[in-house]
Amino acid sequence: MNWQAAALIALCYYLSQSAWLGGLGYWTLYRPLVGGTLVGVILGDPWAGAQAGAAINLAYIGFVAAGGALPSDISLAGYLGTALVLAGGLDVGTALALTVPVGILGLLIFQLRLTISVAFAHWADWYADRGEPDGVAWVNVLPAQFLLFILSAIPCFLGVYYGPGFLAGVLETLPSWVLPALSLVGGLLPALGIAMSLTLLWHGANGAYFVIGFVVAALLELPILVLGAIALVVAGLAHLWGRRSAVPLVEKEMGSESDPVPPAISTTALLRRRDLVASWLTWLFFSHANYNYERFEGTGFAHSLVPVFRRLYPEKAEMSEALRRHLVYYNSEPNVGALTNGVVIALEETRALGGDVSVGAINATKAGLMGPLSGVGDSLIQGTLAPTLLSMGVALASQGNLLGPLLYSAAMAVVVWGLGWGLFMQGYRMGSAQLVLLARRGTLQRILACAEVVGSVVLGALAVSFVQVPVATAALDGGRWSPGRLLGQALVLCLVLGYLALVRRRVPTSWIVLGTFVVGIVAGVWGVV
Amino acid sequence: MAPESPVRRFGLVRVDERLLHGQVVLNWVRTLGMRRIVVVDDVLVGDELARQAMALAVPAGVDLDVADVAAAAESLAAGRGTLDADTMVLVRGAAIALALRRAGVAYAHLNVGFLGRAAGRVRVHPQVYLSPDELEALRSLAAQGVSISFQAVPSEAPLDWGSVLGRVARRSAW
Repeated sequence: MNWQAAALIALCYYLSQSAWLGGLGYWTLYRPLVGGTLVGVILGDPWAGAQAGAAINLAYIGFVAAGGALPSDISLAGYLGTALVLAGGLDVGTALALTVPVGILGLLIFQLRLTISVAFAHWADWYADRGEPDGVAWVNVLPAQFLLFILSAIPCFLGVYYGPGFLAGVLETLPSWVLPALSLVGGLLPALGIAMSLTLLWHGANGAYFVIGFVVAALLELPILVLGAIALVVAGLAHLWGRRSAVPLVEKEMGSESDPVPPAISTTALLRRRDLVASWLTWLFFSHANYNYERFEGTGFAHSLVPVFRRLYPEKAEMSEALRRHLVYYNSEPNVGALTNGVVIALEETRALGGDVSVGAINATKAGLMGPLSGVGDSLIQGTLAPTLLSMGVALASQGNLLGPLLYSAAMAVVVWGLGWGLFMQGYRMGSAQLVLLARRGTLQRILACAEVVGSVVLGALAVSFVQVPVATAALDGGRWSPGRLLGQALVLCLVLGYLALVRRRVPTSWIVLGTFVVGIVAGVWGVV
Repeated sequence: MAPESPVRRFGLVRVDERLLHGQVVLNWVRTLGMRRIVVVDDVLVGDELARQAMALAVPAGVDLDVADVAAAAESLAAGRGTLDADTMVLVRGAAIALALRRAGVAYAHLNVGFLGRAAGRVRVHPQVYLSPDELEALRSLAAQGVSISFQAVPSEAPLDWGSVLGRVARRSAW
């Protein structure tokens, strides 16, 4: 690989965690499905990149990072893993096994960044004390983004540039059992990824839907997307019968225009629409720009209020006080949580107009909404919509179809931008009014239920194509109904359900992964594989 | 604590300043298959906005109670038809966990999940910082036989009370 290609891949890895992609980086470039495709584009074979990325992504499809607790850096795993396949000539299974330590290395980088970035939060305090909003704005973005560039792009460049050649040299000197063992581990890991994802869906009839998806895909060999479409229809009939169609429901899940909206509390508004747009865009881009272990999104929240405060608090002392009260700990899911931003802005506006809103009331409202709304946002987006859309994207990309990563990214953009802007404005209009419209649990839960059914069925089908147990693979030569093949498929299903049982018994994931490697090594040494 | 209180093995008793939050809803409630969440908090009982937001965050099929210590102790003693193993108890700080036990809820295990960084708090876990008061409350719980562990999400290996005490000792020596 030439250095230019390695530098481009490293740049993509940096961008995947950066603040420059309008809140989409974490949902698109961070996912191996998209990252692998980009590596393919850079190295001249997008189709092979999409396929490798899809396989790696499936092993991490149960990835959820709530509250800053990251299980592994799946982005680095995707970029480096795909580079190992395309430039290092490794098979996908072996590369996948090697992404495990890579992901842990990425995790250390993430933790180091969040630890160092605490200092930048205190730097922002310094500007807030002086009532300088520009200072808070640039300190929220530039230092941490520069640090991120150094910490992420350089190791990724070195890994991608030297990794494949270095690894080829190392692998040649290793005993002959190593590669088959790694390949076996790589065949088992997708089962763990699917099991992790299933733990999020495992209630009600979803387990049955998973098994149905598995059996239908194994026996009838239907394309996964056809299966997904059938599942969507079934879920729609089961959960939305007699309701409006599914798409408007997503847009209007927390109330629609036709409902009586409580009047905004401020009758003479100070804020212009462009202040609101600027605040939302700042939040969309920079909520996580200075993510750190002390304040998390705290500096991002204060930064997002700068366009609002410029209008509301022309006095330096007021500006300083306002910035300081929002530079505290804050951590929420940014898009559903944008509702909180809207509510807080309405409260600040009322306060600036001389209304009866105490600082204590603003802080209490913000703190009261932060936790629950992050719960709603994480279950809706991270826990349900993203894995379901990802599983469809993986299914398409595994056949070398570039629509997989493209459609997935487009769908996530609609979810993130649509929900974020809609709820931000809803919050602003509601102000401090009770969350009357929010209390529409029913609609939200019907959408979740539908997405969960589709996700369960598609995960079942993906298990058939991606999980590789040697006994099962050997039996694949038989006819569709041959006993060997049926036995092999039953084994795959048992493997996924076995992993699921371990995860549900709260066995730490690191132990499960370690156990999988031990099994692979034992099998490799014994020459089973 | 009434000495005759039977030992209770709840699905999870968790100290988390954020109470109901993404980590709790997504990682704990779903992974452990919880059916009932009891948020024990004297402040939130009167906060209608926060209660409505929490009701929205709770997954389908899960009951939510928000109660102060006394009411929660009574309601947990009654059990309300949900198995202890399917019940999650959430408190904001170690002091409330201690108050709950003194009110007669003799839980066997306590999970400390999140206490944010603040002046005078010592870091014992990536997302747990303890103040001297919290440390004292936890010591008191440990002395009553509660097993305490520090763990953000179920997929992470828990850190036990002994290791945390070791970390605290090292920090204060340093």
